[in-house]
Order: sequence, then C-alpha cells, then structure tokens
Amino acid sequence: MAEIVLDRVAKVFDEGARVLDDVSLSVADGELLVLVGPSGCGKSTLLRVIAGLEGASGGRVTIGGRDMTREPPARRDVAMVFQDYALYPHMTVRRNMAFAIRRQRAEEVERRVAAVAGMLEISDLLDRRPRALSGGQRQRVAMGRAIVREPQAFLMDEPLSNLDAKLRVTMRAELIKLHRAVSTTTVYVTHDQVEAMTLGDRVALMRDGRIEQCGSPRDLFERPANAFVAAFIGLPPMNLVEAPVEGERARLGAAAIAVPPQVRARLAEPRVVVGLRPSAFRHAAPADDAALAADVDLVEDMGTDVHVFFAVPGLRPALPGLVRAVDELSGPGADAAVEPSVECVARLGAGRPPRAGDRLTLAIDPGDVHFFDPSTGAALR
Amino acid sequence: MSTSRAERLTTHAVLIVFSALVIVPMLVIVVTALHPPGALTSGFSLPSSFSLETFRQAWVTGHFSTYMRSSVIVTVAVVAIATLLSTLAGYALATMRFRGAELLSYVFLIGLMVPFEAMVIPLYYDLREQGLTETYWALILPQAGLSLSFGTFWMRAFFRAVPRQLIEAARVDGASSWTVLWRILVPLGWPALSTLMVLLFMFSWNEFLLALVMVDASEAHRTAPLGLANFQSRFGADVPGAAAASLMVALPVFVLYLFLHRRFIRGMLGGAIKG
Repeated sequence: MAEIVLDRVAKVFDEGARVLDDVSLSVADGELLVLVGPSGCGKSTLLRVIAGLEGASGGRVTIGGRDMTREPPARRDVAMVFQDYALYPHMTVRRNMAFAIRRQRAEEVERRVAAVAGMLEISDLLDRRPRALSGGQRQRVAMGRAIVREPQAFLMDEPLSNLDAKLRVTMRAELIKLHRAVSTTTVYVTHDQVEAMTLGDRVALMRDGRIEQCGSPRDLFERPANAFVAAFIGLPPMNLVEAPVEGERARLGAAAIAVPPQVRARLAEPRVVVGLRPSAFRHAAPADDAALAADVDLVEDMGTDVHVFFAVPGLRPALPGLVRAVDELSGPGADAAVEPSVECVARLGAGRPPRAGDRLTLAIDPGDVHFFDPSTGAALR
Repeated sequence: MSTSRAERLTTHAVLIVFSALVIVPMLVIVVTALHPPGALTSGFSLPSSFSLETFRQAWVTGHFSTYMRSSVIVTVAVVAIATLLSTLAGYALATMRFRGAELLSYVFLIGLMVPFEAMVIPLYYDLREQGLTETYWALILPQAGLSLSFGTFWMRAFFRAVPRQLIEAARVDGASSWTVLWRILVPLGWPALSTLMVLLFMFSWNEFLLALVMVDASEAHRTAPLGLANFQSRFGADVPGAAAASLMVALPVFVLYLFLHRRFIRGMLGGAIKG
C-alpha cells in the first residue's frame, strides 16, 4: 500500500502534442481516486505514466515514497486492469491469475489464487480459458489477476466500459465493496461521470491535459470550480445561460435572479453566466416572481421524474469554449446565431408530466444557482 | 447477403477449372509413376499392369538414401535457425522503439526483392574462399539468411497484430521483454510460427539452384532435388522413374502440410480481448 504523488508531470508526444501539462496530484494511501474527463483529455495517458507504460517528459512520479519516474513498469509494483481485460488467451484463468506471482512457492501461489478466486466468486472458472468466459467473468478475472499480486496500487483504465449497462451497475457496486475490503490505493480512469461520482473518494476532472478540479464528488457537484466542471458533472447537465445583469439581478427572459454583491463586484461588464441544475426548476406557484415561461420541446419520462427540454428565447448560451468537449450536451441552442435562444433542461416531479408543445411556468430555486465569469468560466461565489 | 444462382454457378465453374489445372498434372504424374520402370509413356496413359517396382528402383538408382538425408539435415537446420532469428528480429521490429527501426525493417525487405539468381555466383566465390563449398554450411547459411527477410517480415506482421494491451499487461505484471516473448507471444503465435516453419521447410526442401552451384561436386552432400535433376540426365528416357522420384521428393512437404494445415487456419486470439 502506498501513496502516489505526481509532481508537475508532463507528457509531450513525438509529434509535439502536449497531452499532459504539468499535472500535480497526490493519491493518499488506500484512497480511490477517479480520473474523469472527456475523451482526449489525457486521463488514460496520466494512468499509463503512473504505470510506467509511457515515460514522463517532465516532472516526477513517486509511489510509496520512492521516485519511480524512470523505472520500468515491472519495478513499480502496481497492477493494472485494462479496458479490454487483456487476459492471456492461451492460459487458463488460474495461470492468468498466477502469471505475475509465478516465481513464488507453488503452495503460496495456489493459496493466493484460491483466496482471491473465492472472494470474486470465480473459483469454478479456474480451469477455463478466457474465450470460454462471459464479459462479466473476464472482468472479474482481470480484477483477480490484479488483486492476487497484492500490489502497492491498482490502476484501472475504464474497466467497466465494455460491460452492458446493467452489469456495469452491479460491478460498480462490487468494486466499491472490493475496495473497502482490500483498501489498496487505486487510480481509476473513466469517462463516465456517474462512475466517477459513485466510486471515487475523490474525483479529479481533467481537460486538455490539465486537472480542472480535484475534490470529493460532492465538492465537484456543489462547488464546481468553473463552468466546464459544472457542465460535466451532473446528469442531465447543468444549464449554462449568459444573462445580462441589471442592477442587482440577472435577467433570464421573464425571470430575474438576484446576483450576490460579491459576485457583482467581480464582473468586468454587466453580464454573467448563470448555472442552473435541472433540479433547480419547479412548477411555479402564483406567488413566485422568478418565474420563466417555457415552451416544452421534448419530455423524457424517467419513471421517478421527468426531464423536460425547453427553449428560452431571447437568451444566449454561455460561450461554447467554456464548456468545450461537452458542448454536444448543451443542445441545439449552441450555434443558433440568428435568433438567440437557449435549450434548457429541467427535472420535474413525475406527478403531472407535461407534453411537447405545452407552455409551462417554471420557478427557479434561488438557493441552487451558480454564477460563472462569462469570459473565463471561473466560478464566482 | 444472398448470391444469385448464376453467380454461384460461375464461381463454381471457375473454381473447378482451376482445381483441375492443379489436380490433373498431379494425377498424370501419379499414374505415370505406376508404370513399370523404363516404360515409354507420353501424356496420360493407363499402365497395362500397376507396379510399385518403379519407386523401389528410383530410390536406389537416384541415391535417395543419401540425398534425402542431406535434405533433412539442411532443411531442419535452415528452418530452426531462420525461425529463431526471424522471431527475435520480428519481435524487436514490431514492439520496440529504437533509432532506425523503420529503416532496418526496409533493409530486411530488400532480401525479398533481390532475385536470388543475381547473388548466387558472387556467393559461390565468397563461400569457396571460406572453404565452405561442398559442405552443408554452403546450403544452410545462405538459405537461413535469405529466409530471414521473409521470416522477419512475417513475424513482425504477426507481433504487430497482437493487441498491445496484452504485452503491456505482461510488462506491468513484471515480465521482461524476454518473458513477454517466450511466455506470451510465442505460445499465442503458434499458428503464425508453424505456418512460417512449413513455408520455410518448403522453400528449403525444394531449393535447387543453390545446391546445384554449391554441392553438386560432392556426392555425400547432394540434396534430393539435385538427385531429381541427375535422374533426368542420366536416365533420360525413364519417364516413370522420374515421376516416381518426383513424388518421393514431394512427399515430405505434402505430409507436413496434411498434418498441419488445420493449424494454419485456427487462430488462438479468441477471448483475449472483448469478443
């Protein structure tokens, strides 16, 4: 077991692409840290640098207090679980799991393989070859191969992404239990924010080779450092709308939202990006003044609640650059230059599901509003 | 997808024609070999009585007990050396990053492009200078060297096709390059390796020109294909004898292929990666 410390780690590929830009991060002993981000953000590369499969172009990688920056993977005593499992196809499950510890005494190898196989409930698969296993079983074997080694750290590269949705949820829960049982330092890479939120003791959200924010899942959700984090974490994503500031209020179409004085003080011009979680909307009561007229475009009935997509005319979406790489989530409003309007999504109770074409009056919960700088995207609070 | 009846008929017709082009001459040779020794035959003619005597005589008069032994020694050595070196070179070129790797793999390809006839004469003088002509080395070394072009190219292609994650998983699991090669890649690559070995066996077993130039003067070192040629000149009129001798020379390759051809087709990669 060990702490992993990354100190200004950089990675520049031969073609000159800077994939990691001075990343500093520390993973505490026994912690499960999730690296999450859109594809191409450098999260897998960072994991490979920790494993030693890629050399760092700069900075230092320390595992368990020892500088491992220049050490080959074999010396780092970390185990990796790959997205495609990477089981050795010509070996039985038993030999797959024993591969890394085959130099130990035979009884010891047998004992450890049996113990881990028992823990993962794959004891009856030990004499099969990988090709005779289902996806979920292969996943367990890949996990088992890592656990058997009793390494200083686990590195997991999207280990659940090849499983079907239902199995993924099951395995996610098992992973949490497993980590609780072995409490080995783990770095877990995923592009799925739900996985990140549910698995991680802490989550590091990456974009363009940099860590945008690192903290507890709750931190990232409740106190996003910038508009990118806000848009990435949470499903459906946060609505980001650029609104003019008039006096003490930001105007959202017919509605107005109070902007706290400390936020107004930091604005260079009378504009602000307002971030509204889908859960910040509710059906307006007659007394509500911050109400918004919403023309419903699309309704997704999730059973327990409904996601209502609606356009708010007269508003502009936040600069796409602020949330780039997730802008496919921000809807068709993003490029509507002619008549500005913003596609928003609200999560409403399933009680009276609206239908497309309905006009709703929505109130905004003033306690659940985020503000961001319209040019840098930084959170203002 | 469905194919029309006409299309299927055409395909079958073409396949039948080409199969016949291969099979008919083989049949002619087999039938010819069954004639009594010294019989005069022309084209396809059934013998009045079938006889295996021709094979026995051809074996004795063609010196095949000696020539076959030479062929086995040379071929086994060539296949062993070329397979080992091709595997090592192909592994390095496919998986390791080093200065000039790209250039080096092109250099290996040159061996595939230069016709052998262009180098056999200088090769003869070189080997004679080293005192190696009329030894097995004069056959083994050049053939192993020449096979290396193809072998390296072949193994490199195979190693490149192996999912990178398998190699990486082994490296993270503490394996050295050597362990990765022998414990992961070679067992996985058995279909590719055995195919390569059969091809090399075939090239080497059938090699004629090199043997003619290097060892024709030494009776003890002559290989089976040379025996065939001598047959023709010495027993010019004995067509059944030559046919029987050809069949005997071709037999090892035929048998080897018969036993191994399923191996060629069976892949072992299933299940390594999400399937």
